[in-house]
Amino acid sequence: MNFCFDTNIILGIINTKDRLHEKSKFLMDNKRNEQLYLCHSAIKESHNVLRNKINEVMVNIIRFLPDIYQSSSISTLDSQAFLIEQFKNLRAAKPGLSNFLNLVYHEISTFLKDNEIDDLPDFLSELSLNLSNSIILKIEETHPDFEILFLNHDRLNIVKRSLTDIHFKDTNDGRIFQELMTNLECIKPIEFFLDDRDFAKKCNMGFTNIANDMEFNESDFSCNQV
Amino acid sequence: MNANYSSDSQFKSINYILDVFSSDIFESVTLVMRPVIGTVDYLRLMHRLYQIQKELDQILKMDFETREKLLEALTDIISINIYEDDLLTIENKLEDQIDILQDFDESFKKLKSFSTNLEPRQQTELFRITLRKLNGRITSIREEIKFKMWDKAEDTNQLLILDQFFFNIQELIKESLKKVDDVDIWIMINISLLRIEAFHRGKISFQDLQNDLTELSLFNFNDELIPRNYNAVFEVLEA
Repeated sequence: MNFCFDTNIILGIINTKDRLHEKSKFLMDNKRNEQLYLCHSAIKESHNVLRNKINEVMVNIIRFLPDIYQSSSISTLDSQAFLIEQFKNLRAAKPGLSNFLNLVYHEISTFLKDNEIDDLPDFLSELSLNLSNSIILKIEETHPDFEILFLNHDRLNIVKRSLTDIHFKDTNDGRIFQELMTNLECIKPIEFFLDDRDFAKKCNMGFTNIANDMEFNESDFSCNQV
Repeated sequence: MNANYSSDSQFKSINYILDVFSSDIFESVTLVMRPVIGTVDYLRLMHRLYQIQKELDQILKMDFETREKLLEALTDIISINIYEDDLLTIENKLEDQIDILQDFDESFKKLKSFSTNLEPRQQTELFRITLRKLNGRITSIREEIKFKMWDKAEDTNQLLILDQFFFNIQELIKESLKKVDDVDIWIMINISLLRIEAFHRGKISFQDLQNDLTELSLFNFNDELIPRNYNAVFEVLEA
């Protein structure tokens, strides 16, 4: 059967310390031979979370750069030593980020071999974006054949009419459900896995309306709380 | 201080950049909506400038109030939930809005018609030149953001998001240079510029801007740019 994951499950798969990691991974392993669909909005939401977390670290790095590089008297060797010291301090403050900080340090060192120090903020900005895009590679690693569901505009009006009385607690929940429902004709039957009781309740209510209005069977869509 | 701009002091760092480059953003929007605007010198070379000199002058020499009228109208359109519209629908809504504005709808119409009637080779050249000029403007904005990022008094996170947004627009431009007549990319560039301006005017939230940034990042996805040992990145989720 086709299956789909909500944002929390996606984050659970990629984050080994997440409380949902074991359950999410177990699900993924069990469904290795089934077709995975991921809603564009769920991927976006996960990507957003990852990028903002990476940016937090980049902000800390960018903020100590002036101390190293804006002193005109500092030599290249001293600035390198200062950089190493700052990264050491960052690792000590956040030991859980050691491997990530090593990665960033390595990228900075490589960059500085051929580029000006002035361009470091730009480089870190772009590096953050490239690293946050690795979420796609990670999902592919765990399930190579997944497909992304985009909103099907041809079905949107009828789906919206059926959902007039359903109010999702946040915009992303609403969009994820719309992406599922506007594509349901092509992806049914499908199981949707999530960790949010309220979202599950709204999905069930929404599908009841949509099944009536668009003549789907009960078995075409199910919501499963992890 | 422009009454149309957001007065939210929480976003001082971003809004300073958008304030001092407001003319560049306006000109960038007009370049994307009517690429012929960026090719005055090329048209002079082709001895065709005279055909649209009057219309170009009107747009290029637009006074501040008229410029604001146009940007207010376009950012109103782009601020309403565009998630449910496809690109062509959004583009049509923007063009419809220009048709309503009597100050320059005739000029915009004539510029569009002029471009459409150029030979394919000339059209390609026009689009290419305009994209390069647009890229130059974005580079200047990013240079200023980069300069500000060295200042500890600034909000580095806000500047990072803004820089990443403009970087993604540059990636769209790069993509567009490979296929200059791909209308969808032009529309995406236009929407992106207008969404930044909509934020500048307090019409969309910082969260909306970040969502847009993600949309652009995923569109510009290039796995060759991701470091091989990327698994370490997921540690940030645990922190």
